[in-house]
Amino acid sequence: MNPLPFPVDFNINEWFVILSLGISYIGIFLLPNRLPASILILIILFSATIARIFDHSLAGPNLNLYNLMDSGKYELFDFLSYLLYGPFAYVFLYIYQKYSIKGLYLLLYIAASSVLAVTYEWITVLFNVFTFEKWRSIYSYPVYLFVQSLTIVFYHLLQKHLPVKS
Amino acid sequence: MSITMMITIIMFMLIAYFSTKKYLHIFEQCFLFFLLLVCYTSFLSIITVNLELWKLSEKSQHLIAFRLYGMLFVPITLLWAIDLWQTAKRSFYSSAVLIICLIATLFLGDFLLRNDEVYQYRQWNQWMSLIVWVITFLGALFAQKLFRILLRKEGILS
Repeated sequence: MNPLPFPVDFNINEWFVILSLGISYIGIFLLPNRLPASILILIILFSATIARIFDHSLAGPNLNLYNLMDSGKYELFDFLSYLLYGPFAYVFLYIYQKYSIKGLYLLLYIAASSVLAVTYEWITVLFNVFTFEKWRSIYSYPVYLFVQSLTIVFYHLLQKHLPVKS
Repeated sequence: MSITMMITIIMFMLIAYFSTKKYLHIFEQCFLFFLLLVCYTSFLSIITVNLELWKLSEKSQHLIAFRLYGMLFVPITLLWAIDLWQTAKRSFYSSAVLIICLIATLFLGDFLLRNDEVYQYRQWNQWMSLIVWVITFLGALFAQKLFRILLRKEGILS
């Protein structure tokens, strides 16, 4: 038995993950540098961790609200799909920082980006990255509202501990 | 009983961790916690779902206890040990005591859950768990060293 199964056939969901990873990581490296590399690593890890917590809890045995990729097993591409969340979190924080979004605009910003997040998730369902068993896309909306708010809190925690440049 | 037990020992670990002096920068602590959580929960998924070397109970309270064990108990224990290692490594006696306490704590958590039949070993034993914990500890320590080099390069750490 293979501990981390490699896909037997490279079909549409694997290609979608590969292309999304390629486009999103090239995209964030093309953006002008606003955050140090260590912050980028922490944001990517933070996003992957949140996704892992939800998948480990909701997609695991017994509950099994949805599956990732081809089977109910934990595949290599399941692990790679966690790296997809990082670039989106980075762009989310990049825009937040660049335009200094505050007050009620912050509420609108989080609400709108959560809609975009749910839309992207719906696209991943079309490409069989996610297979919903007892889950629906609309359930993800409050989850993204929470996660994106947490991301902003985490970002401020990191900023607080960055040395002040004279 | 398993949830109560697991929440109790996690709370002990959290209180102990947050009340002791830290030797790692907050960025290093975050980095290690996230890395340990992702890696150890991935390991648990591989062991229970892919390879079926552990048999998980089907009771929902046991599953919750198991999730808490993988997402909080083991990562926080290892994180705390790596934090204490920064000062313990200077003395052979301190580092030996730390390693013994780390292994004892991890074995305790594992024993309590197996005793309560949250999961059972199939083609697995405690020595294999020990090897996994040692590899995870050493791997995380190595990753922390690399991350520290990056933080120093960026001027975040002196």
